[in-house]
Amino acid sequence: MKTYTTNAGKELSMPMRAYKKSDLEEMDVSSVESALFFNKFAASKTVPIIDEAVRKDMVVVNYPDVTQVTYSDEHLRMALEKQIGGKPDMLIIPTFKKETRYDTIRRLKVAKEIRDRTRMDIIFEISYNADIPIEDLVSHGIAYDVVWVHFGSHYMQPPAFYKIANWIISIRRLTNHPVQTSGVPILFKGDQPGESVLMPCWPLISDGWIKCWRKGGSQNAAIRAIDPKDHKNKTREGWLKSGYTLGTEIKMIGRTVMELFKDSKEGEDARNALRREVLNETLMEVKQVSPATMESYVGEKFAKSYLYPIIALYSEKLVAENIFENHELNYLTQDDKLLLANSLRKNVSPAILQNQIRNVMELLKSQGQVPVDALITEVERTGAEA
Amino acid sequence: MYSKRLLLGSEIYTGEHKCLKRCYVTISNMVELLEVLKKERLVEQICKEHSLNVAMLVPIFENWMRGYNNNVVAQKIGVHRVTVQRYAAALKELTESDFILIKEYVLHKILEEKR
Repeated sequence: MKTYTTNAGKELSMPMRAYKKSDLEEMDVSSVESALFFNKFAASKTVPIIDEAVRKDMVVVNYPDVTQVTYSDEHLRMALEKQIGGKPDMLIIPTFKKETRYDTIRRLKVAKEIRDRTRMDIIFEISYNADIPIEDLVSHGIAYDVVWVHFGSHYMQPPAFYKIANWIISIRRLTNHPVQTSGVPILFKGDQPGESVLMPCWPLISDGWIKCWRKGGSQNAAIRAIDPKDHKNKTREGWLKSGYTLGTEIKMIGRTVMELFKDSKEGEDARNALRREVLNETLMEVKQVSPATMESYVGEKFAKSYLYPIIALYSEKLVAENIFENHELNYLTQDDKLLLANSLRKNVSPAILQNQIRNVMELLKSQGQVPVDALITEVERTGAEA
Repeated sequence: MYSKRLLLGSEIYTGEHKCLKRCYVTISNMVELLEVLKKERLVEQICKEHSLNVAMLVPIFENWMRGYNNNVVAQKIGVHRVTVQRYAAALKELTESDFILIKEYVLHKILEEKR
């Protein structure tokens, strides 16, 4: 399993998943091994104290929410001082409300100053909607270790997803830093009008994700629950049209469809339990997806509107892990690695890509440090065979 | 969904998107592979009957076999304790033959991961 080790020696399983205090309480566990403990508190409040069990097992991130605050050096200083007071394992340079390019560059410079003074891991957060050229992030790449692309809404639609995808692919290609997504939803707009689908695709396309905990929907909206068969978020009528009856028992939670749609605390608890079970099972399936099975999995389980960016991002992740982060290829220069990566990028299918990478690794094993042109020839030969 | 089988390149995959065996398919190992596929189909059927997910079953069973209690298993894999309890309860209700089948399947998966 791939891990990220902080400068303090703590390990974070990749792709990283974040848990809040309320998650741990709801799960009835004191901590989750090698996961991120995420705490975002109101900027006006004091820093909350984190339990020792959490500090021992998890990587702690504890920072004030400044997404509704306009940038100023003073506000940034306050946000950083509060974080340092809370003894986090990773320091976040958080994104502010409607940042300008100047604000982002200021934040990058502050990140560089902190980098020069401390050994802390630095996370640089940017909004998915940020209007800044990628070159700014690339030229200050030395200032941070991880980039978080922040979304901040409970529901995803294709235009916003394409923007996030664009950030992920650009940052990964140009900086070689891990890219994670923060404040991202698990419910996506489906292919049909009014359809929403549970689609936790984030571990496939990024190096980690932090859920958007904000609840969506108006109070008068119809009650919906996720159907475990097709992962669509449906009303009671939708469930009945899908072949369920009111008396059908949902074995996962031991309740009937009738009980699931009760407009009461009991019904809400049942819907939350069902969502939790389906989400955890889907995340476990996503964890076991391999390059050869990835296309068939996403084709079957995810909405079609998102397939191309998801497959492209997954392929890019494979290239990053196997070329840029692979120690066996350290004898190549950065330019040679780019040539090799670009020859692999001609192919969008993760299954073929995996075969090409495997053949390159076998060639290295049998012949030692071969020149990059021989590796590219091998890549092209495997690609042509496919 | 469970009956789909996909032969891709030199690897054999099942409809549940998991690699069964990462090696070249030859006539001599074909019998063994078909045996593994047959067992996997049986495991999928058992899971379907008990409303369990194969992807979730593997890490829970693996940690359970190592002797961890439900709380520690939940901490290790990052899921709700009630989920682990549900899987543990379902495993206890299985017939001996079904239990052995699942145990063999999980051991096979663990070995495959290490390979």
